[in-house]
Amino acid sequence: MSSDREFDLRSMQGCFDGAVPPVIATCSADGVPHATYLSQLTLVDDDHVALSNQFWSKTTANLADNPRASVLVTDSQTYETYRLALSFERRDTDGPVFERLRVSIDAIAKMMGMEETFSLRSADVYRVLSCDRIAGPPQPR
Amino acid sequence: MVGASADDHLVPEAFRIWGATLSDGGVLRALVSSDAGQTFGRVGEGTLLCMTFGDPLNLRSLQVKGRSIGAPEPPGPADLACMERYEKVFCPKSLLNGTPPALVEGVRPRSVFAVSIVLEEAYDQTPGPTAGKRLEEGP
Repeated sequence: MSSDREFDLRSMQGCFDGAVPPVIATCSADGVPHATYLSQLTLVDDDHVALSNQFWSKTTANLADNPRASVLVTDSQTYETYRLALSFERRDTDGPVFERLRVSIDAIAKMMGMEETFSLRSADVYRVLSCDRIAGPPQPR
Repeated sequence: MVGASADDHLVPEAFRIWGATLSDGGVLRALVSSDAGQTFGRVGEGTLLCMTFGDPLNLRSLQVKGRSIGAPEPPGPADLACMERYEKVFCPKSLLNGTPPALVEGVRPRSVFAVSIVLEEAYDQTPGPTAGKRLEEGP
């Protein structure tokens, strides 16, 4: 872990188990924001996360013009919510990150009876620029 | 309920909404979590915002886009009543899909500000083949 980073994604494991659907916001080149729910966020490494991309035509179009995104994610263990500032880097349609997400998405889809709808298109990989705790149980002083 | 704004550099900010009302004139007044500092600092007359409303049980969702009619306002008595109504609907539904009450309490904003927008566009946001389809104005 680099010394200048002010967050530790590995300490937020409950954010990456798919229990609480995260929210992603993007913005088009002409300044129109877009917000939608997604199924799962997964940890790639100390600086990167991957988001499940299933049916995001508008989000995908926005990211092609503007890589910045904002994600709200809640830790299923601590109930703390974080706002991540992200920059889109690449789209994986195979490989270990994609397969890890696919297995998890398939399980969520089966549980909800939405196997066709929830088919994973890609694992979209982002660099985490910042991570702010914005809600949750009171923290001890 | 969630939404987003963007700054002059096209950097978006996602936020939670904890109650909203729609007037006959097409003005939507939403109660935005106060942690959305970028949105609070930026919203003024004509600021573009989007808001997404979803049913936690069947995932049916709607996204609206519009422009704010002015700066954020502190919540008034009618807004607080709106938040109470929202909680009465949202919390039992969340319990039905297995969400622990403590989780709902964890994501509930501790304070909100009110933003009013004039609706310009609406889209079906329900997961599936119709996601993103623009909804036409009714008669």
